[in-house]
Parts: sequence; structure tokens; C-alpha cells
Amino acid sequence: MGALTDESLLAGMATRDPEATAAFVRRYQSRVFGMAMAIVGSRAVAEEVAQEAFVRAWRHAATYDPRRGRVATWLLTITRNLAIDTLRLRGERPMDPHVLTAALVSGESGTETASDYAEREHLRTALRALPPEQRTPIVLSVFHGMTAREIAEKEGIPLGTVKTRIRRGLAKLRDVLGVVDD
Amino acid sequence: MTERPECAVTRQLVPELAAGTAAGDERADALAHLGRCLDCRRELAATTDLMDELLLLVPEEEPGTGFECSVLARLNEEDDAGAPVPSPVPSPVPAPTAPVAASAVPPGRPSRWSRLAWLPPPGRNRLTLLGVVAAATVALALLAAGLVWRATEDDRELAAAYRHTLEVAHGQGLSAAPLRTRKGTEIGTLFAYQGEPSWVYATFRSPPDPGNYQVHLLSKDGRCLALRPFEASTKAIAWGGKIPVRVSDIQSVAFIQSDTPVLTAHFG
Ligand SMILES: [Zn+2]
Repeated sequence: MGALTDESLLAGMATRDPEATAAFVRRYQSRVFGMAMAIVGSRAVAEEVAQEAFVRAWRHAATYDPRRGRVATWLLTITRNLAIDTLRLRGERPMDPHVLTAALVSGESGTETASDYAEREHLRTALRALPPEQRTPIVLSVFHGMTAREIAEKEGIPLGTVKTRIRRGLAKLRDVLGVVDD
Repeated sequence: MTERPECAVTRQLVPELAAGTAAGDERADALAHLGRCLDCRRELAATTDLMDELLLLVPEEEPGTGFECSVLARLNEEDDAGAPVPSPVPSPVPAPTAPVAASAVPPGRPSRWSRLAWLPPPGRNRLTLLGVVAAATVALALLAAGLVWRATEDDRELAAAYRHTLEVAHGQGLSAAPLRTRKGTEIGTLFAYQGEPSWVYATFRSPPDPGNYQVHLLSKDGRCLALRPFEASTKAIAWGGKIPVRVSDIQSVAFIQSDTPVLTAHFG
């Protein structure tokens, strides 16, 4: 099973193959649970979110389109959306963005290839180097699903300023990825 | 790069489009422009890629004991319920939003533990029987592995007798899978025997960390079964338990300590 690509496991899951499904869950459970934890901050809620994310992935496996991104990001996007919605439904606040940011810039990811690893470390370093006033709104937008307007209200900053800071921050991060890509 | 005036409004919104947070009316205007403007589409694609990469920075974290089992049990229920299998559909123009619309987790679902089928501990007679069979399994394993072993004549006869029982009388024989640590190091073997009763038996080349282990069997159809727990002493070299599924239905057997599957054997 270890040699199968993410795409072939997902394809197996789409045909309801139990072995491919089990292998898919095994391969991704720590990533999915890590994402849920990063947003909701509670193990019990995170397990519910993570479980639901796999159910969604299972239901929608047949509609996954590789042109729209890798399996990992597809699955993590599902997880993030579920985590945000679950918190909203419960009327609970997501994890402190500063705690999440600290985990992002210092964290280490487990199973990945060397080239993936190098790129990820470049991005991590670049994120660490961003001024906090650019980094925090990016984290709030990407991980907490907040609109620029919500961020502006939360941080007490004009809307235009928030948008500018996010764009500047993202532009710096993109420069880093561009260098690695070439 | 300077933006054309008609692009400027859309570019303002690109981060929110990529993050999937843009509000409806703004979003509709921007999508209309994106349909006409290659530069803005490229900008959006690049920003979406970047945000995907950011998602991957989140540290991995192991969920609790039985998570894998309870997920698979849940998927099995969905399958049984005849949930429609979506047919592959052509993807529309790159959509900036999440591919799957999220909705809330239904509240009040039963705890994951309620889905685990706990087996009663085997009776004394079975344990005794198991002990005998297990001893033979160990012997078989060592002999089969070609290890130089100070086996007595009796041991060899016993092994030979069970080999006969396992391979001839019952036909199904003995299956085996390596027991590996999380790092992939092989530290033992898990044998599975198809018979009346069927059982699994683990032998360890070196004693595993002492302590109490939960043992979960995951079946190929996604059921999770808790087998007899393993109380490992400092000198434990083996563990065995009856299984309620056919050997050919075993997907994996995991030894779980402190919420983490520390040893796993995968079949098939
Ligand atoms: Zn444009």
C-alpha cells in the first residue's frame, strides 16, 4: 500500500475499495487531525471534525479533480472548512491565531519527500520573517476563514489597510515559492 | 508590474477569493472579470497555490486510539446506507472556492467507542488451547525462519504436528505478517490461523516496551474489533487472541499504547 500514490488511493476509495480506503485514512489521519486541532484547539472536537472530513472525502472522492490541486490540500481544505463551520455552529472561538502562527513557523511535518521538505522550509522561514501585522491577517484569512472586513473589525484596523497588508505579505511569500520552483 | 485599472478591483479581492472567504456580490463581479482576464486568473491561481502550501505547514498530530477504526466504521455505515456514489463530473473553470461545500457536523452523534465491538475475554479452556497452539506457532515461526534454535526433539515434533494440522487438515494454513514499529522497524511477527476458533498470535524478537496495550483488529470491510488486551511484562515475548473474522478478512492488527498505535501488522 505504501507505494501507491495519493491519487490512486483516492481513486480506490471512490470505487469503495475497503483496502484503499483504510490506507487513505491511515496515510492522512495525522495531517487531518493536525489541521482540525490547529483550528479548534480541542482534541474531542478535532476528532469529530477529522472524522467528518474523511466522510466528506469518501463521499466526494469521485469528483476530485487533480487539476485543482493535490490530494493533501484538497483534503486539508475540506478539514479547514469543517473546522471553521463547526466552531461557528457551536459559537466557539477558534484557537488563538498567535498560537497557530507559532506552530506554523516552528512545526515540522512528517512524511514528505526531500524536495517537498525544502520548499516547505523555505515557506516556513519566509512566514517567520514576515512582520506580524502582515502575518496575522494572512493566518486569520487562510486558517480561520475570516473576511478582510472581519479581520479589520477584530484588529481595529481600516479595511483598506488589512487588504494591503495581506497582499504585501502574500507577495513576499510567493517570491520564496517562485525561487524554489525554478 | 502595474495593474490595469479594470484589474485593480479584482486584484484587491484575489486573496479572499483564494481563501474562499469573498462575499457573494463582490465575488460575482470578480468572477465575471476573471472570465475575461488571463492575467487576473494567473494571479488567482498563484495565490491559491500559495495558500495550499500554507495549509501544508500545519504540524501533523496523531488522533486518539481507535480513530482510524471509528472512521472506517462510519464509512462502512455510509456504504451500507446506500449513500449515492457521485459520478465523476468534468471540472468547471478553476473555482477559487473549496472544492467541497462544508456544512456542520451533526450534533449528538454517538461516541466513537459505541461503534467498537468489544469482544469478551476468552474462556479458560480457550486460553489453554490457545497456549498450546501458540507454542507450536512460535516453534513453527522459528523453524520456518531457519533460525538456529536449541529445539528438542519434542519441540520439532510438536511443530511438525501443527504444521500438519495447519497446512493439511485445515487447508487455510497459517498467514503471517511482520509486526513493525511506527518507524517501520520489524520487531516481530503476527501469525493468523483460520480454524475453529480462528486466532492471531504475535511473537516478538525483543520484548516490546512493558505496559498495557490495547489490540485492535481492522477488517477489510472497515470494522474495528478490540481483541484481548496485552499486558506486556519486561520479558513478554508473545501475545495471542481469538478473532471473530476470517483470516482473509484481516486488514491490520495494531498494538496501541497511550493512544498511539505503536506496533502494526498489515495483511493482504
Ligand atoms: Zn484583470
